[in-house]
Amino acid sequence: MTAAGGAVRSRGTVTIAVERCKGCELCIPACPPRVLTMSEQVNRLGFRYPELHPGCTGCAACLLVCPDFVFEVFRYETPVEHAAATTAAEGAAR
Amino acid sequence: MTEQHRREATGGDLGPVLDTSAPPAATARLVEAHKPDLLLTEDHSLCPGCGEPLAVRAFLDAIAELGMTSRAVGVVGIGCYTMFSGTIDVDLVQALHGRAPSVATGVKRMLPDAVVFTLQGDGDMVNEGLQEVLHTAARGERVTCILLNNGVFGETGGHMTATSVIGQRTKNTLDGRDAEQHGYPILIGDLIARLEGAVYVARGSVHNAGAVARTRRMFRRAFETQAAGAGFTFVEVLTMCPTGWFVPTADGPDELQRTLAEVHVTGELKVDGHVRTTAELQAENVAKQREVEAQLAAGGLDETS
Amino acid sequence: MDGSEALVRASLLAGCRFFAGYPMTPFTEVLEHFARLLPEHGGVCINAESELEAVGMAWGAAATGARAATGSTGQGLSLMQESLAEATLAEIPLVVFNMARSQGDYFQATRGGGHGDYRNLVLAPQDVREGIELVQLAFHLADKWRNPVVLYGDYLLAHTQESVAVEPLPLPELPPKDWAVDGSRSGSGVSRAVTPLGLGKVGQRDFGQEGKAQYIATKMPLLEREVRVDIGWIDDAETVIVAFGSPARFVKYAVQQLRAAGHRIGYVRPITLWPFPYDAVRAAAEQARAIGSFEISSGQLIDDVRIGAAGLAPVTFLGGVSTDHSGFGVGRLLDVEEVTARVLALHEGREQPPVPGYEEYAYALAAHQQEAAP
Repeated sequence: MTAAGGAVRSRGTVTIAVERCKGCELCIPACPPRVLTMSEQVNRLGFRYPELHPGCTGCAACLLVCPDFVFEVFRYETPVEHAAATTAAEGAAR
Repeated sequence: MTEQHRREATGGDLGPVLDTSAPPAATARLVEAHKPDLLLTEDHSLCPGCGEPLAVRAFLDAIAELGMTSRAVGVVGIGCYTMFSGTIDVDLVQALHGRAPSVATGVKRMLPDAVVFTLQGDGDMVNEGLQEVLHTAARGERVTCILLNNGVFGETGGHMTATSVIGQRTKNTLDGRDAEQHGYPILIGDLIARLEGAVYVARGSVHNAGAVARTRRMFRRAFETQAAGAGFTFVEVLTMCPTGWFVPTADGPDELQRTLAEVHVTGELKVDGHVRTTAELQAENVAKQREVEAQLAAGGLDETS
Repeated sequence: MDGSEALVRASLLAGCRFFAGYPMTPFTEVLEHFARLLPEHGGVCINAESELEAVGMAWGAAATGARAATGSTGQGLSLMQESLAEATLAEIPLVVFNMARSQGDYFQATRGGGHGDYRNLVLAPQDVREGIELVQLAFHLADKWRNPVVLYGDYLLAHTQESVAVEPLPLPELPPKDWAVDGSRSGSGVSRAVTPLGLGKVGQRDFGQEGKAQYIATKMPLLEREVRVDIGWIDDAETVIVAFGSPARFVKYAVQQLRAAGHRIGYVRPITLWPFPYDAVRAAAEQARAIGSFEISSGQLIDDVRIGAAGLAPVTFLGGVSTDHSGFGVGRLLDVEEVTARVLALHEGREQPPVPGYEEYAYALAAHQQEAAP
């Protein structure tokens, strides 16, 4: 979600066990704020894996749909803000 | 579907990739751990995109949440999910193909205070073991039979089972199941709902987060009903099998909804002895899906509803 | 009381708490007595909807550590064969009653009608009195070895009225069943699994399929120490008859009568059909001129008699297929005169008398069956 001034706020976050992922991509459409994308690189098994962008709400939808127990979900005590400028620039570079 | 998401997702507005290799530095509470407590390891040999681990997680969480861990006994059938008999941290009896309900009956009669469940696939329960589950339900045995229904015999290569729907593509119905050649599917949840001994019968699904959450609630209700001694309980879960269905993993959920879910309608088929109509279920499904989507968008599911 | 009731009371004395069965003659009365008596003794009896479910239920009950049993007659046991084979792999202590219609279930019981390398212990009582002891022994052996045990009974055993006292058989203590499943170790990290598969729980012993096969294959021969046999008048016998179960009583009586008339005849009665008392048969064959295998079947026990005799004396088939008009019960061959005539014929080197009245039913070859296939 975008805060005043263009910064993106994350209410939650996840850890992603990259090496366990089998690249099924079920988490991508499951994420309500759409902050997961599949990586360009592959893990040791040869699969692309999800990467997290700012805006996570900690809703755990990704965890619910992941067959490989890749996610761990957290909710911040205070939402974390990610600077808008860096966000857009780094996003464009991808 | 996947490509669309990828294009959408990398439109440039998403921002940086965050470091997700370790728990956050900022103060945060853990919403949910990688795996359920009752699973000894996250590792399994099931295919990418398989729905079965989602169902397993749901019922293991339900058992733990209800405080039933130290009296839970499982009876596992034969199918892809059999490998969980090595990783589920519950006292287990491994049964033969189709035979879990009778074994569960023997277990429950000797351990009336235990929470006894079976874990079976559609090939196991509805092909080989149809007689067993029907009789166990009719007798009102106080056990919970759990069906992982993906409409195929996964472990042996993806062939048609008694629950495969008309038009469903499987290893031996590559042009889709045809009523003329292959007959009609058995809607096992609906069949069991009509037996008086069955008191709570539900059919869930794992095609999206909302469905998984609903399924978890069905499991809680089923185990609570068993513990209350009311009668036989049954939870069927529609799961994705992209390997058996010959679809890309990301298309599994849509394929499930297009095929199995059209015929095996999800919902609580029987509650407190009352059988609900398909129309009731379908209307409820639409309402529940909206409700869940709203909760997820707002930042999390309401676990109590 | 009738034999069926005695067997059930003996089971209760052994601590049996669970029984499941499906009605079938001549086993039905066993089920009826269990249904009536088990609840009175704090146990559970289920009238299962099929034999397949009956053995499944008993499997589940036994897996919790309770002494459990199932049963039927031969046809019903045929349905249970997959489960009996796999129960052996899963090391389930299960007692299985076969109230057989003939002695033609010998192969099913001793070779096993199921798949793979497995053995079930088989006990064959000759009368109700011995039945009471062997039932208790069966539950003991099943727990001792964590292996299915078949109690090979028959119509006569089931229906004979005898005045018997059902007395407890003194047997050694067995260790507690730590392996049994009851939910108490769920969530502990070391929960239990009772399984025929080689798959073990994470963090615990994992056989793998090949390891499990080795484990069971090496276990089976160790059960052979449980062999039991009853022998009589062997030391100077010229002719020895081998027989088991109720028919063996007829043979023993015939042998006793013939001995009294001066004939040197003896008998070997296997009490365990598996493990089979090969040594006793060999010892008899070492000095006898003729061995007879008496059985109510077309010849199954005789295979083991031949193995035991090891060519030391010729083995002749006595008896035959014999049943009553219903197909369930006792036929004309189970008669003291018939048995005596057959034993004496063997002893005197004469042909076996034909089974009276059966000639008209002998199979006649069709023209296309005369020659063996090329």
